[in-house]
Amino acid sequence: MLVGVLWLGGIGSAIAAGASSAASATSTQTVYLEYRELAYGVGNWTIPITLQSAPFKKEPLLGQRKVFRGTLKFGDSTEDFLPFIWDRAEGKLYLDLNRNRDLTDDGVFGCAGAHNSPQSFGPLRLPFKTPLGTVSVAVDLLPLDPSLSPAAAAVIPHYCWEAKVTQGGQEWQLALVDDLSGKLGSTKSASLIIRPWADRAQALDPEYDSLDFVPFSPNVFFGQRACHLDCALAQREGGIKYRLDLTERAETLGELRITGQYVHRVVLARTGPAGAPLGGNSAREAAEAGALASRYGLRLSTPAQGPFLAVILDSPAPVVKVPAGSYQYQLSVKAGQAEARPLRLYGPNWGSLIVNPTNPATIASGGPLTNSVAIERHGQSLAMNYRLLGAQGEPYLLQGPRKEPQFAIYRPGKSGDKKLVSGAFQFG
Amino acid sequence: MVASADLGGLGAKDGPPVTYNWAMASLLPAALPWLAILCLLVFKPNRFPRAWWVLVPPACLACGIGFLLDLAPSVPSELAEVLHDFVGALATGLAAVWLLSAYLSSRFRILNVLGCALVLEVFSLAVFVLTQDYEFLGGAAQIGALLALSAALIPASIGLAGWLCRRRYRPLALSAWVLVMLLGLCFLTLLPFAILVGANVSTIEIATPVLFLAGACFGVLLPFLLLSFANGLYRQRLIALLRLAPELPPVIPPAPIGVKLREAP
Repeated sequence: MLVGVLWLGGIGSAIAAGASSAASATSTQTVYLEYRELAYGVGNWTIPITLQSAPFKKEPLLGQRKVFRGTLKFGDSTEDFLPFIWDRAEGKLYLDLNRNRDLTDDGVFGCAGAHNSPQSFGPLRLPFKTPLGTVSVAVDLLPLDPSLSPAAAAVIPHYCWEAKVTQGGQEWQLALVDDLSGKLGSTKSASLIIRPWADRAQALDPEYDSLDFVPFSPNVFFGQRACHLDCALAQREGGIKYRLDLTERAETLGELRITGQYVHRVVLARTGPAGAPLGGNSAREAAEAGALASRYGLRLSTPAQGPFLAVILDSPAPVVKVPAGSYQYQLSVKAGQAEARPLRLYGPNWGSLIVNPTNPATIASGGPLTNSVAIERHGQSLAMNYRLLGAQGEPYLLQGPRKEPQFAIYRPGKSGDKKLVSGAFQFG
Repeated sequence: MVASADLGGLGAKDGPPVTYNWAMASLLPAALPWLAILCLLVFKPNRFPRAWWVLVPPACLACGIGFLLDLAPSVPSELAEVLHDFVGALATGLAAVWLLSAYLSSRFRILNVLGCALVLEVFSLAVFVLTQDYEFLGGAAQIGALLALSAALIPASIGLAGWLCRRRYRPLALSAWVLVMLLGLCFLTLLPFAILVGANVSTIEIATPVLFLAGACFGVLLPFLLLSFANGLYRQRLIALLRLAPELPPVIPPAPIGVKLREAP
């Protein structure tokens, strides 16, 4: 009798688990991310420079002009280091693309305006060695003022590696942007783009705090499914591509209600205990999860428990299912061409929530947005700061070209409010 | 107060009204510089109607800085307030020097300069400290340090300019030398900081703060110099303070032949 009850209880639990889980049978989808050049920059990396006064083995004729010689220190391998001569007066950049310290047998690049500051060269195609061969990638290179310490250059990638992935009955663009300050081919510090394939032609927002990008996370949830990403360079059809294996993983799901309006994109970062065991909780795993969380700009008060998971919800329905766990989240709102994203005042602006399989969680942030003003007294003056607030009072920043917000001050009176003064807020 | 902006469908254009109950602030901080000047006008050497002209330079500077800031609406309001406080405090200090200069004159130019510096430091810093909003200090400490530096540089520049013009009272030359001395002293003062910051500091990075500081000091000082050139009372005090050669008496043309000068009784 007792055995029978336990057996029935076990079946009941299994049914309940099955009802709240994503596909239990794991399957792997393999795609190859192809190199694609973009008309705009995606990201901005600072590459350290070692300056030198000694000339290179062979140099072009430079006259008596003051030039800057040095090495761009891409990654941590000297194989990727790139010697250069920057002739600032002439607005020319000599790059030793074949790394033979002969700067006469490679390309010389000019910038649009020699007197611009900083001078921008590009897009250039920089070759990098990988175990599978050389990969050339398109970048803009902006040597920063050499008097600044430490000397560095800004490098803006103009490319990504992308593939079309079908997940949850929808086609997605899944793209990778390399970390040019690290090792090409490593996803450790790369960025991930996951958005509907239909949006592929739209320019990505290269700003650091844009929700168009997320730091690469091996565990992601999008298209109503959780999957593990394994990504590495591979030879394919005579070229080098990224091979990406998406392995579905079972997650206990919970309900998430989104009550704010115009929610365009939600990025949730799971850092806390999940509703179900996630396959170990080793110190290494916790450290990796902590490192990933910090790349998302999250400061964890306790060590991460379980593997880090990034959840991406694009144009979500009012009620969605997401893996259980405790999360921090950010969201952007969009209506027509108008888009707003969270305002970073003193670091990333994250909200918190806990999703569990039994009780629905709610995100009340989002639209409609409200124009508001924060007023503080400073002695005999009033400081009035414009605020764009969401449904929960969270601050947003309107994207794209916009006019200065206006203000009007009224004094209440017996015969109605009297307008005292009006004007525009200053940006900054 | 109502804030409004076109949110393109993400929300209403006009936000809800935000109410703020404004209580009139004390007028004392704004009136303090003027009260200080009025107190000094009570002193015996200043009991002349001509001495009241000393109120004109601070008033001109207060209007001028307001006008300049109106011309540049892009200047952040915090910076505008700080500039206003800096100019106001320095102008009050200079007015105090002009009013107390009757007590500061001695046979030794160096003592005169040190006395001026002391009065300028005390009055400028006191006015600056007492008019600051301590709920929102911001960069007040840095501006206070800059004010103290300016209050030392101005008397030094005037003293050196007076020494260079000691043979004759020449307003234009004196003003020009004051400007040159201010530029030189500002450069010498800021050079060690530039050297400490790094060897690769460009010329423009050194020149900009030098020009800014010297220009600000000269801009505040000039109305007081003009007052001295135009007002006999303050002209005599400036001449005494800088120990300049007195103004030459007017040249009497020789009497025409045949005219008999009347002898004095």
